Amino acid sequence: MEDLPAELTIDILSRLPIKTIIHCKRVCKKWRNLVLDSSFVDLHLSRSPTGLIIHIKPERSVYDCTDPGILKWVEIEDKVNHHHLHHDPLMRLDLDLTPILQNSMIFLMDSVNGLICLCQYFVTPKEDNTYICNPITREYMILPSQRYYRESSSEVIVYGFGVSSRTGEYKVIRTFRGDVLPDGNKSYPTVVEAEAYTLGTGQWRSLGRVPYLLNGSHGFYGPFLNGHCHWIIHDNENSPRKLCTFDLDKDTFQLFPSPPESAQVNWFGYHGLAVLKGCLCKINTYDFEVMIWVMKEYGIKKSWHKEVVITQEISVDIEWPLCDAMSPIEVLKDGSILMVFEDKLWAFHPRSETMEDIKKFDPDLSAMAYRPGGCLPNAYAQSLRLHLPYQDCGKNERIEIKCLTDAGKRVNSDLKTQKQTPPYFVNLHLSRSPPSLIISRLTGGDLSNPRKLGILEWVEIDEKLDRHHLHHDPVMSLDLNISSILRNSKVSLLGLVIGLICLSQLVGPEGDNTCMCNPITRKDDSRMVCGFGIVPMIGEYKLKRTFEDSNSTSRPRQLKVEVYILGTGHGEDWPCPLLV
Amino acid sequence: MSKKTLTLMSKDKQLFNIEEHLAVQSVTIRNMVKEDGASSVIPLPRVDSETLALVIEYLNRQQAPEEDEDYVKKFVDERGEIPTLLELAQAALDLDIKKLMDAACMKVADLIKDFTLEEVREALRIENDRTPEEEKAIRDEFQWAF
Repeated sequence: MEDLPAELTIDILSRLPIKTIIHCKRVCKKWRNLVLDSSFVDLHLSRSPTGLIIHIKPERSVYDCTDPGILKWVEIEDKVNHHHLHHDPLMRLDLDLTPILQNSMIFLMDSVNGLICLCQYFVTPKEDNTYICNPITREYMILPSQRYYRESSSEVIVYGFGVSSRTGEYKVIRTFRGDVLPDGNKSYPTVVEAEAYTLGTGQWRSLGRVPYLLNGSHGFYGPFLNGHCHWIIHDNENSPRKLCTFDLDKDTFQLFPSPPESAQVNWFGYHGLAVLKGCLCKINTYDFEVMIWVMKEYGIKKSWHKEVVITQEISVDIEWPLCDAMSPIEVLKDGSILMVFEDKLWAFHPRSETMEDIKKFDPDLSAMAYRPGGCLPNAYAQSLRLHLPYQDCGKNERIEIKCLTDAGKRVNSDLKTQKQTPPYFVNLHLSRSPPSLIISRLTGGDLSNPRKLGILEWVEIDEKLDRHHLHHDPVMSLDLNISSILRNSKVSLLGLVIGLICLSQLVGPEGDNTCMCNPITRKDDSRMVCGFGIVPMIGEYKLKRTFEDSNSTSRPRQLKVEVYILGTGHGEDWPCPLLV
Repeated sequence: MSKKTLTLMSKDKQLFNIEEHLAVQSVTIRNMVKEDGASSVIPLPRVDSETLALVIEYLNRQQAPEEDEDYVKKFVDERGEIPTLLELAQAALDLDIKKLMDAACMKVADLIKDFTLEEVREALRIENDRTPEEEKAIRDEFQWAF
């Protein structure tokens, strides 16, 4: 009989669980080479499931709030017949924003390729910051200060976040409208200025005066589609509302075809834009009616079509007249439209014409569609990158959970371009592995008191449409008793990228170590670290560590940053960040 | 307009007719049709007649798009023999019919998941070229998996 083609063998093997693959290494030399001969590649996964990022705001009133709230990542099981929002407490990825974003308010802007743009407003002093964050890897960066910033409450700041289709550069557009210049001089007429920040450049560029007064979706941002950010123009009351776009390739603002609406209808109500199923949509919320216009073919005025109308008859759960804008965020395969309305998450079902309150999450939230996938590229090193802490659960015993394959999935994307090269197998297998968890049971507390450190456990998840089950078969279990190698120290789980785990070990008040370990092969390696990630295009794993400079005489001591690239044997110093 | 028919020829020189609009689900055939109009017989020198008959049955399916996924699954499930599935997967690979190849490979993976080494070798026509020492080394490295 003929041999099976390698492509077919790889395809079949990549669908097997990791345990079987280890068996398969024993089948023959060719297979072993297929499986072993593999460094990781760093293209992102295009097959990620749809999800949402939900921002649960703190309960207090907006104006005296000092708690920025929590970000949650919710996966959607999206089928033609039904949908389900997964937010399993074991699997959840809740980012507690409090430690890094104290005394400020946070607003979700937009999400592009797995990166989200957040805006931070401080209450006192009245300032604002822009963040780009990857919630899956928990990396974030703060953009440098822009020329015009918030000083009172009357300024209008409107954002756009997107990626240039020509150069692949990520850009943040920020338009500022206010009466006060940074030097404190009153300036009339109103300043309307736009600035752009290209990730990796380290500074904002002025785009000069904006030709239009922009209003974003939810007032703050212009949704990104097709290489452009889109806003509604705040124009005079007698003409229909116009749309405007910013071309991320050419860096220019221009007018954009708007729906065929009459001027009168247009002035009242709330008007917003959204991207649903790859189409630009305009959502008008009036007192007794909501309508969703869809632009079927991008840029073609005639293709605007009134797709959905929600009227008073369909929902008794809502209080009419409406006093908040409905903001659709995603259309699911069963036709349901997920939307945020009055700070709650709703699903509108067009077939049954009903509005369902999804009571799964605490009210007082905002949300946006999210697909994991992006990495902050290496070129952005000059911007500060830190890791957000997970929300702690438990009291004396800390349990940290990270999803093994979701981290791994990020690497995988356009498999076609990688065909026939060895890493192809690793990618394919990662993309097909079921999700699993690494659970660390670590006892916290007093360092001077030696105690058992705990265990790392590997738990496989058996996920079916109608149920799920966490496997922790004692035969299969891969419990690493970390006490034996890390005696008399405090250990914490730092990060996890494509199957490698990074642990930090505090030996006493003075010393610390970092261990890298692969729980599957049980190989470990000691390094110093406090950030851990993979650089997408070149496939390097990098560790980052921030520590106090013991030679520094100033108090508090100056902070130093060190970066280590796995395999190079030495670290390199990075410029010291201003904020930690 | 009458529907255009294509003729496919298997390894053992049997001829099969299929309507062109169905045949072009295969990317390979689509490209051939695009290039030279594919007026004559299309030879498939690596696909035997039994397998080609299956492929044609699959291409001729009349499923609504939303039922298609279930249909493909059922289609390969009913032909649950590994040798048949491998032939089918190989034909789907040659003809570039992604859904069929995915389903067939998935089914094979499901079947061999719990096989012993010997069974895997036999099922996938592989000769053992590992020495006992090499096998032991892997066994030691991944003790937990055995």
